[in-house]
Amino acid sequence: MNDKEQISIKNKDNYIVITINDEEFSPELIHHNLQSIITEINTDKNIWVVGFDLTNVKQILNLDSRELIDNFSLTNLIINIKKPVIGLINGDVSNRLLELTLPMDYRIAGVNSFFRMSQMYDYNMQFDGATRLLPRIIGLNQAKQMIMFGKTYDSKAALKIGLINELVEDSNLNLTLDEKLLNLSKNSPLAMQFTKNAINFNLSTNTMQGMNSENDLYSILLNSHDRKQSINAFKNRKKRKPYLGE
Amino acid sequence: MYWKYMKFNKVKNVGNIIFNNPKKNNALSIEMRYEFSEILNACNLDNDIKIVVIKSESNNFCVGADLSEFNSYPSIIESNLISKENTLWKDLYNFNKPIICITQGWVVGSGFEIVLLSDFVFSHQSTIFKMPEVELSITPISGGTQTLLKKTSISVAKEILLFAQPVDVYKAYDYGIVNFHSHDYDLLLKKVDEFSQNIENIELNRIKNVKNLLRVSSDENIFLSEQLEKIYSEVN
Repeated sequence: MNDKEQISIKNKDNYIVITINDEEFSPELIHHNLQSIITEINTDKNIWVVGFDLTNVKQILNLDSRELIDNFSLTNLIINIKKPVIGLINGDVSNRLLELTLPMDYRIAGVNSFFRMSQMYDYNMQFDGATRLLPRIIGLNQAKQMIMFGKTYDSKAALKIGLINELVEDSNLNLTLDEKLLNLSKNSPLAMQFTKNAINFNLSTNTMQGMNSENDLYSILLNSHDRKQSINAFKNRKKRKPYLGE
Repeated sequence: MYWKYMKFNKVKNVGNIIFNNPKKNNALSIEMRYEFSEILNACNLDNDIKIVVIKSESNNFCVGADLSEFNSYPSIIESNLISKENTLWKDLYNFNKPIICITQGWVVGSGFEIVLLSDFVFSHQSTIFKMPEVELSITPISGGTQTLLKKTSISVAKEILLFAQPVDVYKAYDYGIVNFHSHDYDLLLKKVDEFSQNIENIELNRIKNVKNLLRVSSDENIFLSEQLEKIYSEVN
Protein backbone atom coordinates (compact mmCIF):
# COMPACT_ATOMS: atom_id res chain seq x y z
CA MET A 1 0.00 0.00 0.00
CA ASN A 2 1.53 3.36 -1.02
CA ASP A 3 1.53 6.51 1.02
CA LYS A 4 -1.13 8.89 -0.13
CA GLU A 5 -0.95 12.65 -0.18
CA GLN A 6 -2.48 14.07 3.00
CA ILE A 7 -2.48 10.60 4.48
CA SER A 8 0.37 8.41 5.70
CA ILE A 9 0.10 4.74 6.41
CA LYS A 10 1.95 2.45 8.79
CA ASN A 11 1.45 -1.23 8.22
CA LYS A 12 2.66 -3.47 11.03
CA ASP A 13 2.00 -7.10 11.86
CA ASN A 14 -1.71 -7.48 11.27
CA TYR A 15 -2.73 -3.92 11.84
CA ILE A 16 -2.59 -0.65 9.99
CA VAL A 17 -2.43 2.94 11.23
CA ILE A 18 -3.78 5.66 8.97
CA THR A 19 -2.54 9.11 9.90
CA ILE A 20 -4.22 12.18 8.45
CA ASN A 21 -1.50 14.81 8.22
CA ASP A 22 -3.49 17.88 7.20
CA GLU A 23 -4.40 20.23 10.02
CA GLU A 24 -7.44 21.39 8.13
CA PHE A 25 -9.24 19.81 5.21
CA SER A 26 -12.53 19.62 3.43
CA PRO A 27 -14.19 16.17 3.25
CA GLU A 28 -14.46 16.17 -0.55
CA LEU A 29 -10.68 16.59 -0.88
CA ILE A 30 -9.84 13.54 1.22
CA HIS A 31 -12.82 11.33 0.38
CA HIS A 32 -11.36 9.70 -2.72
CA ASN A 33 -8.02 8.81 -1.10
CA LEU A 34 -9.70 7.48 1.99
CA GLN A 35 -12.17 5.46 -0.02
CA SER A 36 -9.43 3.68 -1.94
CA ILE A 37 -7.52 2.94 1.28
CA ILE A 38 -10.63 1.55 2.94
CA THR A 39 -11.39 -0.66 -0.06
CA GLU A 40 -7.89 -2.10 0.29
CA ILE A 41 -8.35 -2.60 4.04
CA ASN A 42 -11.63 -4.45 3.54
CA THR A 43 -10.15 -6.77 0.96
CA ASP A 44 -6.68 -7.31 2.43
CA LYS A 45 -6.69 -10.59 4.36
CA ASN A 46 -3.61 -9.55 6.34
CA ILE A 47 -5.14 -6.43 7.86
CA TRP A 48 -7.17 -7.36 10.91
CA VAL A 49 -7.45 -4.11 12.84
CA VAL A 50 -7.33 -0.44 11.84
CA GLY A 51 -6.07 2.63 13.70
CA PHE A 52 -6.89 6.21 12.74
CA ASP A 53 -4.48 8.83 14.05
CA LEU A 54 -6.36 12.13 13.90
CA THR A 55 -4.18 14.00 16.39
CA ASN A 56 -2.78 16.31 13.69
CA VAL A 57 -6.21 17.40 12.56
CA LYS A 58 -7.45 20.68 13.99
CA GLN A 59 -10.55 21.14 11.90
CA ILE A 60 -12.60 19.47 9.21
CA LEU A 61 -14.37 22.08 7.13
CA ASN A 62 -18.10 22.14 6.65
CA LEU A 63 -19.73 21.18 3.40
CA ASP A 64 -22.49 23.58 2.56
CA SER A 65 -25.07 21.39 0.89
CA ARG A 66 -26.80 18.11 1.69
CA GLU A 67 -25.84 16.80 -1.72
CA LEU A 68 -22.14 17.31 -1.03
CA ILE A 69 -22.42 15.58 2.34
CA ASP A 70 -24.23 12.62 0.81
CA ASN A 71 -21.56 12.27 -1.87
CA PHE A 72 -18.56 12.84 0.37
CA SER A 73 -19.75 11.39 3.67
CA LEU A 74 -16.69 10.41 5.70
CA THR A 75 -18.94 8.78 8.31
CA ASN A 76 -20.31 6.36 5.74
CA LEU A 77 -16.77 5.49 4.67
CA ILE A 78 -15.66 4.67 8.21
CA ILE A 79 -18.85 2.81 9.12
CA ASN A 80 -18.23 0.50 6.14
CA ILE A 81 -14.85 -0.67 7.43
CA LYS A 82 -15.46 -4.31 8.25
CA LYS A 83 -12.62 -4.60 10.73
CA PRO A 84 -12.40 -3.04 14.21
CA VAL A 85 -11.36 0.62 14.09
CA ILE A 86 -9.62 2.55 16.87
CA GLY A 87 -9.47 6.35 16.69
CA LEU A 88 -6.80 8.54 18.27
CA ILE A 89 -7.74 12.17 18.99
CA ASN A 90 -6.31 15.08 20.94
CA GLY A 91 -7.00 18.74 21.68
CA ASP A 92 -10.08 20.49 20.37
CA VAL A 93 -12.22 17.68 18.98
CA SER A 94 -15.21 19.52 17.62
CA ASN A 95 -17.98 19.29 15.09
CA ARG A 96 -16.92 17.41 11.92
CA LEU A 97 -13.76 16.08 13.56
CA LEU A 98 -15.78 14.61 16.43
CA GLU A 99 -18.35 13.37 13.94
CA LEU A 100 -15.61 11.49 12.05
CA THR A 101 -14.73 9.55 15.22
CA LEU A 102 -18.30 8.45 15.98
CA PRO A 103 -18.43 5.45 13.60
CA MET A 104 -15.12 4.18 15.04
CA ASP A 105 -15.32 1.30 17.48
CA TYR A 106 -12.99 2.62 20.19
CA ARG A 107 -11.78 6.16 20.85
CA ILE A 108 -8.58 7.07 22.68
CA ALA A 109 -8.11 10.74 23.61
CA GLY A 110 -5.40 12.91 25.17
CA VAL A 111 -6.10 14.15 28.70
CA ASN A 112 -6.33 17.78 27.59
CA SER A 113 -8.91 17.15 24.88
CA PHE A 114 -12.34 18.70 24.86
CA PHE A 115 -15.36 17.90 22.79
CA ARG A 116 -18.09 19.99 21.19
CA MET A 117 -20.82 19.48 18.62
CA SER A 118 -22.00 23.01 18.01
CA GLN A 119 -22.76 23.11 14.27
CA MET A 120 -26.21 24.41 15.06
CA TYR A 121 -24.69 27.59 16.49
CA ASP A 122 -22.45 28.07 13.47
CA TYR A 123 -25.47 28.37 11.18
CA ASN A 124 -24.77 24.93 9.82
CA MET A 125 -27.22 22.08 10.23
CA GLN A 126 -25.55 19.64 7.83
CA PHE A 127 -24.78 16.65 9.99
CA ASP A 128 -22.84 13.65 8.78
CA GLY A 129 -23.96 10.99 11.24
CA ALA A 130 -23.93 12.87 14.55
CA THR A 131 -27.69 12.79 15.08
CA ARG A 132 -27.74 9.05 14.27
CA LEU A 133 -24.66 7.91 16.15
CA LEU A 134 -24.20 10.24 19.09
CA PRO A 135 -27.44 9.17 20.90
CA ARG A 136 -26.40 5.55 20.51
CA ILE A 137 -23.00 6.25 22.01
CA ILE A 138 -23.78 8.62 24.90
CA GLY A 139 -27.57 8.31 25.21
CA LEU A 140 -30.28 10.62 23.91
CA ASN A 141 -30.18 13.02 26.84
CA GLN A 142 -26.44 13.75 26.62
CA ALA A 143 -26.61 13.86 22.82
CA LYS A 144 -29.29 16.56 23.00
CA GLN A 145 -27.16 18.52 25.43
CA MET A 146 -24.21 18.39 23.03
CA ILE A 147 -26.07 19.05 19.80
CA MET A 148 -28.88 21.37 20.89
CA PHE A 149 -27.20 23.28 23.71
CA GLY A 150 -23.69 23.10 22.25
CA LYS A 151 -22.37 21.80 25.58
CA THR A 152 -18.61 21.29 25.76
CA TYR A 153 -17.26 18.26 27.62
CA ASP A 154 -13.71 18.03 28.93
CA SER A 155 -11.89 14.74 28.60
CA LYS A 156 -12.89 13.38 32.02
CA ALA A 157 -16.56 14.17 31.43
CA ALA A 158 -16.33 12.69 27.94
CA LEU A 159 -14.92 9.48 29.40
CA LYS A 160 -17.68 9.37 32.01
CA ILE A 161 -20.49 9.70 29.47
CA GLY A 162 -18.85 7.16 27.15
CA LEU A 163 -17.96 9.53 24.32
CA ILE A 164 -14.41 8.23 24.52
CA ASN A 165 -13.21 4.86 25.78
CA GLU A 166 -9.80 5.73 27.13
CA LEU A 167 -7.83 8.77 28.32
CA VAL A 168 -4.04 8.94 28.11
CA GLU A 169 -1.25 11.48 28.59
CA ASP A 170 -0.26 13.27 25.38
CA SER A 171 3.18 11.62 25.42
CA ASN A 172 1.58 8.15 25.44
CA LEU A 173 -1.00 8.62 22.71
CA ASN A 174 0.74 6.77 19.88
CA LEU A 175 2.15 4.10 22.14
CA THR A 176 -1.32 3.39 23.53
CA LEU A 177 -2.80 3.19 20.05
CA ASP A 178 -0.12 0.68 19.00
CA GLU A 179 -0.65 -1.38 22.15
CA LYS A 180 -4.41 -1.50 21.66
CA LEU A 181 -4.06 -2.48 18.01
CA LEU A 182 -1.54 -5.16 18.84
CA ASN A 183 -3.77 -6.42 21.63
CA LEU A 184 -6.79 -6.64 19.33
CA SER A 185 -4.84 -8.28 16.55
CA LYS A 186 -4.21 -11.28 18.81
CA ASN A 187 -7.93 -12.07 18.64
CA SER A 188 -9.51 -13.98 15.80
CA PRO A 189 -9.87 -11.63 12.81
CA LEU A 190 -12.94 -13.43 11.48
CA ALA A 191 -14.67 -13.47 14.86
CA MET A 192 -13.95 -9.74 15.36
CA GLN A 193 -15.23 -8.91 11.90
CA PHE A 194 -18.40 -10.97 12.31
CA THR A 195 -19.03 -9.64 15.82
CA LYS A 196 -18.69 -6.06 14.60
CA ASN A 197 -21.04 -6.88 11.73
CA ALA A 198 -23.64 -8.30 14.13
CA ILE A 199 -23.44 -5.26 16.43
CA ASN A 200 -23.79 -2.82 13.54
CA PHE A 201 -26.70 -4.86 12.15
CA ASN A 202 -28.57 -3.91 15.32
CA LEU A 203 -28.50 -0.26 14.16
CA SER A 204 -30.93 -1.10 11.37
CA THR A 205 -33.15 -3.82 12.80
CA ASN A 206 -34.94 -5.17 15.86
CA THR A 207 -33.57 -7.63 18.41
CA MET A 208 -35.21 -10.78 17.00
CA GLN A 209 -33.91 -10.16 13.49
CA GLY A 210 -30.55 -9.26 15.01
CA MET A 211 -30.50 -12.57 16.88
CA ASN A 212 -31.24 -14.45 13.65
CA SER A 213 -28.41 -12.63 11.92
CA GLU A 214 -26.07 -13.40 14.84
CA ASN A 215 -26.99 -17.07 14.48
CA ASP A 216 -26.24 -17.03 10.74
CA LEU A 217 -22.85 -15.39 11.31
CA TYR A 218 -22.04 -17.98 13.97
CA SER A 219 -22.90 -20.77 11.55
CA ILE A 220 -20.59 -19.38 8.86
CA LEU A 221 -17.70 -19.51 11.32
CA LEU A 222 -18.39 -23.14 12.28
CA ASN A 223 -16.26 -24.48 9.47
CA SER A 224 -13.38 -22.03 9.74
CA HIS A 225 -9.84 -23.26 10.32
CA ASP A 226 -9.24 -20.77 13.16
CA ARG A 227 -12.30 -21.89 15.08
CA LYS A 228 -11.47 -25.57 14.78
CA GLN A 229 -7.87 -25.24 15.91
CA SER A 230 -8.70 -22.79 18.69
CA ILE A 231 -11.45 -24.96 20.20
CA ASN A 232 -9.30 -28.09 19.90
CA ALA A 233 -6.43 -26.33 21.65
CA PHE A 234 -8.80 -25.19 24.41
CA LYS A 235 -10.21 -28.69 24.85
CA ASN A 236 -6.75 -30.24 24.99
CA ARG A 237 -5.46 -27.50 27.30
CA LYS A 238 -2.81 -26.53 24.79
CA LYS A 239 -1.74 -23.10 23.61
CA ARG A 240 -3.50 -22.29 20.37
CA LYS A 241 -1.53 -21.40 17.25
CA PRO A 242 -1.70 -17.82 15.96
CA TYR A 243 -4.82 -17.15 13.95
CA LEU A 244 -4.65 -17.12 10.16
CA GLY A 245 -7.90 -15.42 9.33
CA GLU A 246 -9.18 -18.54 7.58
CA MET B 1 -39.83 -33.76 38.28
CA TYR B 2 -36.06 -33.98 38.49
CA TRP B 3 -33.42 -32.56 36.26
CA LYS B 4 -29.76 -33.50 36.05
CA TYR B 5 -28.18 -30.08 35.69
CA MET B 6 -30.89 -27.75 36.94
CA LYS B 7 -32.95 -27.32 40.09
CA PHE B 8 -36.27 -25.61 40.44
CA ASN B 9 -38.43 -24.51 43.32
CA LYS B 10 -41.39 -22.25 43.78
CA VAL B 11 -41.74 -19.92 46.75
CA LYS B 12 -44.99 -17.95 46.75
CA ASN B 13 -45.02 -16.11 43.40
CA VAL B 14 -41.36 -16.66 42.64
CA GLY B 15 -40.02 -19.42 40.42
CA ASN B 16 -36.38 -20.09 41.28
CA ILE B 17 -34.34 -21.59 38.45
CA ILE B 18 -30.99 -22.80 39.76
CA PHE B 19 -27.96 -23.87 37.72
CA ASN B 20 -26.73 -27.13 39.19
CA ASN B 21 -23.66 -28.27 37.31
CA PRO B 22 -20.95 -27.19 39.81
CA LYS B 23 -18.32 -29.63 38.54
CA LYS B 24 -18.25 -27.72 35.26
CA ASN B 25 -18.87 -24.30 36.82
CA ASN B 26 -22.37 -24.44 35.30
CA ALA B 27 -21.07 -24.65 31.73
CA LEU B 28 -24.18 -24.92 29.58
CA SER B 29 -24.27 -28.25 27.80
CA ILE B 30 -26.92 -29.07 25.22
CA GLU B 31 -28.76 -31.21 27.78
CA MET B 32 -28.62 -28.45 30.38
CA ARG B 33 -30.06 -25.97 27.86
CA TYR B 34 -32.97 -28.36 27.17
CA GLU B 35 -33.64 -28.66 30.89
CA PHE B 36 -33.48 -24.88 31.26
CA SER B 37 -35.96 -24.47 28.36
CA GLU B 38 -38.33 -26.99 29.89
CA ILE B 39 -38.36 -25.21 33.25
CA LEU B 40 -38.72 -21.79 31.64
CA ASN B 41 -41.71 -22.94 29.60
CA ALA B 42 -43.29 -24.41 32.74
CA CYS B 43 -42.79 -21.06 34.52
CA ASN B 44 -44.45 -19.34 31.59
CA LEU B 45 -47.52 -21.56 31.89
CA ASP B 46 -47.78 -21.43 35.68
CA ASN B 47 -50.07 -18.53 36.55
CA ASP B 48 -48.97 -18.55 40.18
CA ILE B 49 -45.48 -17.48 39.13
CA LYS B 50 -45.08 -13.75 38.69
CA ILE B 51 -41.29 -13.48 38.77
CA VAL B 52 -38.51 -15.82 37.76
CA VAL B 53 -35.15 -15.74 39.53
CA ILE B 54 -32.15 -17.35 37.87
CA LYS B 55 -29.18 -18.14 40.09
CA SER B 56 -26.50 -20.64 40.96
CA GLU B 57 -25.76 -22.30 44.26
CA SER B 58 -22.07 -22.73 43.50
CA ASN B 59 -19.33 -20.09 43.36
CA ASN B 60 -19.81 -19.22 39.71
CA PHE B 61 -23.02 -18.17 38.01
CA CYS B 62 -22.21 -19.76 34.63
CA VAL B 63 -19.01 -20.01 32.57
CA GLY B 64 -20.83 -20.13 29.22
CA ALA B 65 -21.22 -22.90 26.70
CA ASP B 66 -19.72 -26.30 27.43
CA LEU B 67 -16.80 -26.14 24.99
CA SER B 68 -16.11 -29.87 25.40
CA GLU B 69 -19.13 -30.39 23.13
CA PHE B 70 -17.70 -28.12 20.43
CA ASN B 71 -16.07 -29.71 17.35
CA SER B 72 -17.59 -33.04 18.44
CA TYR B 73 -20.30 -33.33 15.82
CA PRO B 74 -19.33 -35.20 12.69
CA SER B 75 -21.26 -32.87 10.46
CA ILE B 76 -21.28 -29.09 10.26
CA ILE B 77 -24.91 -29.28 9.14
CA GLU B 78 -25.87 -31.19 12.30
CA SER B 79 -23.98 -28.71 14.41
CA ASN B 80 -25.68 -25.86 12.59
CA LEU B 81 -29.11 -27.39 13.10
CA ILE B 82 -28.53 -27.75 16.84
CA SER B 83 -27.71 -24.08 17.16
CA LYS B 84 -30.74 -23.11 15.06
CA GLU B 85 -33.13 -25.44 16.89
CA ASN B 86 -32.24 -24.01 20.25
CA THR B 87 -34.93 -21.47 21.10
CA LEU B 88 -33.92 -20.88 24.72
CA TRP B 89 -32.48 -17.43 23.99
CA LYS B 90 -35.55 -16.28 22.10
CA ASP B 91 -37.79 -17.78 24.80
CA LEU B 92 -35.90 -15.76 27.39
CA TYR B 93 -36.15 -12.61 25.27
CA ASN B 94 -39.90 -13.07 24.77
CA PHE B 95 -40.62 -14.22 28.33
CA ASN B 96 -43.43 -12.02 29.60
CA LYS B 97 -42.74 -12.16 33.34
CA PRO B 98 -39.88 -10.29 35.02
CA ILE B 99 -36.61 -12.20 35.19
CA ILE B 100 -34.05 -11.47 37.88
CA CYS B 101 -30.52 -12.84 37.73
CA ILE B 102 -28.48 -13.15 40.92
CA THR B 103 -24.84 -13.46 39.96
CA GLN B 104 -21.58 -14.39 41.62
CA GLY B 105 -18.15 -15.44 40.37
CA TRP B 106 -17.67 -15.95 36.64
CA VAL B 107 -20.44 -14.87 34.29
CA VAL B 108 -18.99 -15.77 30.91
CA GLY B 109 -20.18 -16.02 27.30
CA SER B 110 -23.72 -17.40 27.13
CA GLY B 111 -23.87 -17.08 30.94
CA PHE B 112 -23.38 -13.34 30.45
CA GLU B 113 -25.93 -13.41 27.62
CA ILE B 114 -28.55 -14.94 29.97
CA VAL B 115 -27.95 -11.97 32.26
CA LEU B 116 -28.43 -9.61 29.31
CA LEU B 117 -31.73 -11.32 28.47
CA SER B 118 -33.01 -10.79 32.01
CA ASP B 119 -34.69 -7.67 33.38
CA PHE B 120 -32.83 -7.07 36.62
CA VAL B 121 -29.36 -8.07 37.72
CA PHE B 122 -28.36 -8.34 41.37
CA SER B 123 -24.65 -9.07 41.63
CA HIS B 124 -22.36 -10.22 44.37
CA GLN B 125 -19.08 -8.31 44.33
CA SER B 126 -17.21 -11.47 43.31
CA THR B 127 -18.96 -11.33 39.92
CA ILE B 128 -16.81 -10.95 36.82
CA PHE B 129 -18.44 -10.63 33.42
CA LYS B 130 -16.62 -11.59 30.23
CA MET B 131 -17.39 -12.27 26.57
CA PRO B 132 -14.34 -14.29 25.40
CA GLU B 133 -15.66 -15.32 21.96
CA VAL B 134 -13.22 -13.33 19.79
CA GLU B 135 -10.34 -15.00 21.65
CA LEU B 136 -11.70 -18.42 20.64
CA SER B 137 -12.61 -17.52 17.06
CA ILE B 138 -16.33 -17.85 17.64
CA THR B 139 -19.07 -15.25 17.82
CA PRO B 140 -21.79 -14.86 20.43
CA ILE B 141 -24.88 -16.89 19.63
CA SER B 142 -27.24 -16.18 22.50
CA GLY B 143 -28.15 -12.64 21.46
CA GLY B 144 -25.20 -10.87 23.10
CA THR B 145 -24.41 -8.67 20.10
CA GLN B 146 -28.00 -7.40 20.22
CA THR B 147 -28.98 -7.41 23.89
CA LEU B 148 -25.82 -5.73 25.16
CA LEU B 149 -26.83 -2.69 23.12
CA LYS B 150 -30.17 -2.60 24.92
CA LYS B 151 -28.50 -2.49 28.33
CA THR B 152 -25.68 -0.13 27.49
CA SER B 153 -24.21 2.00 24.67
CA ILE B 154 -22.80 0.81 21.35
CA SER B 155 -19.30 1.92 22.48
CA VAL B 156 -19.40 -0.17 25.64
CA ALA B 157 -20.87 -3.12 23.73
CA LYS B 158 -18.01 -2.99 21.24
CA GLU B 159 -15.44 -2.64 24.01
CA ILE B 160 -16.78 -5.72 25.82
CA LEU B 161 -17.30 -7.85 22.70
CA LEU B 162 -14.23 -6.93 20.63
CA PHE B 163 -11.63 -6.63 23.39
CA ALA B 164 -12.94 -9.56 25.50
CA GLN B 165 -11.78 -7.80 28.64
CA PRO B 166 -13.28 -8.89 31.97
CA VAL B 167 -15.72 -6.42 33.52
CA ASP B 168 -16.01 -6.19 37.30
CA VAL B 169 -19.21 -5.38 39.20
CA TYR B 170 -18.43 -1.67 39.62
CA LYS B 171 -17.83 -1.15 35.92
CA ALA B 172 -20.87 -3.27 35.05
CA TYR B 173 -22.96 -1.08 37.38
CA ASP B 174 -21.64 2.09 35.68
CA TYR B 175 -22.42 0.56 32.28
CA GLY B 176 -26.03 -0.13 33.34
CA ILE B 177 -25.68 -3.92 33.22
CA VAL B 178 -26.04 -4.43 36.99
CA ASN B 179 -28.94 -2.93 38.98
CA PHE B 180 -27.68 -3.58 42.48
CA HIS B 181 -24.50 -5.01 43.94
CA SER B 182 -23.28 -5.98 47.37
CA HIS B 183 -20.51 -7.95 49.09
CA ASP B 184 -23.28 -9.60 51.13
CA TYR B 185 -25.04 -12.37 49.19
CA ASP B 186 -27.84 -12.56 51.78
CA LEU B 187 -28.53 -8.87 51.22
CA LEU B 188 -28.97 -9.58 47.50
CA LEU B 189 -31.51 -12.29 48.33
CA LYS B 190 -33.28 -9.87 50.68
CA LYS B 191 -33.47 -7.24 47.91
CA VAL B 192 -34.95 -9.79 45.54
CA ASP B 193 -37.52 -10.71 48.20
CA GLU B 194 -38.46 -7.04 48.62
CA PHE B 195 -38.86 -6.69 44.88
CA SER B 196 -41.02 -9.82 44.67
CA GLN B 197 -43.22 -8.62 47.52
CA ASN B 198 -43.72 -5.29 45.73
CA ILE B 199 -45.34 -6.91 42.75
CA GLU B 200 -47.04 -9.74 44.60
CA ASN B 201 -50.41 -8.02 44.55
CA ILE B 202 -50.25 -6.84 40.96
CA GLU B 203 -52.38 -8.76 38.53
CA LEU B 204 -50.30 -11.11 36.36
CA ASN B 205 -51.75 -9.85 33.07
CA ARG B 206 -50.78 -6.31 33.91
CA ILE B 207 -47.20 -7.36 34.65
CA LYS B 208 -47.01 -9.28 31.36
CA ASN B 209 -48.48 -6.43 29.34
CA VAL B 210 -46.13 -3.82 30.77
CA LYS B 211 -43.09 -5.99 30.10
CA ASN B 212 -44.30 -6.66 26.59
CA LEU B 213 -44.88 -2.97 25.93
CA LEU B 214 -41.42 -2.07 27.17
CA ARG B 215 -39.86 -4.73 24.95
CA VAL B 216 -41.74 -3.62 21.86
CA SER B 217 -41.16 0.08 22.47
CA SER B 218 -37.43 -0.40 22.86
CA ASP B 219 -37.32 -2.44 19.66
CA GLU B 220 -39.88 -1.08 17.23
CA ASN B 221 -40.69 2.40 16.04
CA ILE B 222 -42.35 4.74 18.49
CA PHE B 223 -45.63 4.98 16.52
CA LEU B 224 -46.24 1.22 16.69
CA SER B 225 -45.48 1.37 20.41
CA GLU B 226 -48.03 4.17 20.81
CA GLN B 227 -50.71 2.04 19.12
CA LEU B 228 -49.91 -0.94 21.32
CA GLU B 229 -49.99 1.25 24.42
CA LYS B 230 -53.55 2.31 23.47
CA ILE B 231 -54.70 -1.24 22.76
CA TYR B 232 -53.26 -2.58 26.02
CA SER B 233 -54.84 0.23 28.08
CA GLU B 234 -58.24 -0.53 26.57
CA VAL B 235 -57.88 -4.23 27.34
CA ASN B 236 -56.93 -3.44 30.95
